[in-house]
Amino acid sequence: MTTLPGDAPVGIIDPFVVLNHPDLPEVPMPREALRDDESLAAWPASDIVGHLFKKDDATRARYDTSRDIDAFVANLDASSIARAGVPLAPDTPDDVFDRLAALDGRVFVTLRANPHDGMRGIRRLDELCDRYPMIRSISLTPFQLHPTIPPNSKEYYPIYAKCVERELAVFVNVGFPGPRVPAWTQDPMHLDEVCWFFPDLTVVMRHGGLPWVDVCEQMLLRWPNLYYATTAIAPRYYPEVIVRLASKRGADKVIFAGYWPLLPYERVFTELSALDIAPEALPKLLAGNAERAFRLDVLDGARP
Amino acid sequence: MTPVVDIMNYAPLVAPGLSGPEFQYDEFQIMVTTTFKGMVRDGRLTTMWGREIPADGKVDTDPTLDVPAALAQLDAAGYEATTLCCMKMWSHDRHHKLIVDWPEEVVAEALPQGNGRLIGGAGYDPFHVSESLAKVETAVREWGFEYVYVHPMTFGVAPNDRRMYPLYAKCVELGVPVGFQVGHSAEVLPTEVGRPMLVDDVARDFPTLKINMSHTGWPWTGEFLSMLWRHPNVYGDISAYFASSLDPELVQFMDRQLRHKIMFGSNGLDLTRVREEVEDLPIKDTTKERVLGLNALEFLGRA
Repeated sequence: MTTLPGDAPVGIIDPFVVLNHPDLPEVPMPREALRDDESLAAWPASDIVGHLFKKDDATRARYDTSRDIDAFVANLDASSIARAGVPLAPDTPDDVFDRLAALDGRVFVTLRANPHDGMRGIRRLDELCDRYPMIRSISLTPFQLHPTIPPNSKEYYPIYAKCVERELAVFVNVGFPGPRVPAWTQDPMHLDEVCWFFPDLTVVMRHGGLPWVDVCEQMLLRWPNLYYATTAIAPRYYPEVIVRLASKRGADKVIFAGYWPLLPYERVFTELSALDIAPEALPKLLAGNAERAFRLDVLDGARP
Repeated sequence: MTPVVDIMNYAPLVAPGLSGPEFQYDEFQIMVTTTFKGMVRDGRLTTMWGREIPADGKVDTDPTLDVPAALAQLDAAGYEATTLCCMKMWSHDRHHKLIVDWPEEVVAEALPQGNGRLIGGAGYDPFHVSESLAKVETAVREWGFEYVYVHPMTFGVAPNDRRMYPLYAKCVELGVPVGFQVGHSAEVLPTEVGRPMLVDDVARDFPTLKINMSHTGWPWTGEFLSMLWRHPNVYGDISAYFASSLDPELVQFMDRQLRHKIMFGSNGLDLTRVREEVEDLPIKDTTKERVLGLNALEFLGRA
């Protein structure tokens, strides 16, 4: 049995590690999207989903670590994470981009985009990607939009065309969201049409896809450029179909993600080690698939 | 008098042999029995750019350029400048393939010989977005094209369809205006997507994009006029119609609220007659100046 991370056959890549640096802009849910008193009272804090997660001292300590870039990187070292993908909003201060860029490819970025931003968003995307080749994907979260629109809506299509042009992946949130807002736009089935229409676009699903995991599975088997990252789920709760896929037919399509700081790496690796994943599939799950999907070879020599 | 500018002419003006083969397809064969009836005589057909072919359209494409002949035509008809649009038409109902695909490369070769009088108009295929956008980008950045003209209804695609949105974003990025046909289509093609009101989404989602709704929007003239009136970035042209047959409401708006917005185009009809018919309209001389040229120069960013 492989005990992770010590026995990892490759340097582990985690494409979704959250940095909570105090200079980062808050990315709240649009207030207009919320209806119930509890959510409205919690706004704009991310505590809107507080009811879903433990708030113990260890979690608080991880959040403290996630506020400082040096501590964040030290934690990657301590957790045997060779490369981490960090989601950043487009109005993140240059200084944060610059400091992450100076890490020489240790960290890559998934840039959040809002399809309602229209050309302003596209221009910003172009400008940032010109300056920071470490931006390897565009992150989309349909439920956070107001009005919420599914990923096959026209507002997204210029973003997809731009991603094909710039060879960026789209990293899309699928499955029921934590906040109490409508979930239908999070149905992964909407991506089926996107994968069909943009055969050169790499699409990575994240955040589980529950309760539509069977849809995810079918689509992973039919679309060569579609991937599934295990964000937001502790390994012991990985859907059975995903574990099976990661071992066999979909060994090239599942990407490990730990969901730090919400989940501690110790727990994630302990649970992951206990899963029945074929040893020969492990290097793909832990690194190879992410390298291919996010084209991480660009990071070699990625300093601006 | 401001120079006359034709906002709606096509690549075959400089290479008449590009046109012809489209007549072998059902859409065009139907049209020569309906809206294009006058083109056929004794089993022969003369295209809008003067190429005589058998009426069954069985003829090869000939991309040979003759720019001096095109400029001579402009001189004879009193035109200062014209667009050369590289139209792509999909056969929606019958053949399910491109039945017109006038190449940007031919126009790119013509432009340097045009003394600024030829205006390149790239095409767009909404079924092949990435390849098409790459072509548009090359045409604008490297070959000096100033316009993109699309024929979305041949693809059964509405102007506010998601497959059109990447083009609009690219046009804003490149700083070129976009145009497409609205109204019914002379060919038997899906026409519901020609409703001018469908452009409303586009005008609001891309407020800095200049949009030309071509061919008057008939039979939805009211929608056409409403769009031009309400949206600062929406223009329209009267191409494909002789001015004597224009909807009187359109002529009235053209002389008043929309005198800055309506442009002139031949669509390949008799260049002298289309111009003369505008000059014969019962509208102000200052309006004629605007419609015949100034509005197009402003729309294209040349004025």
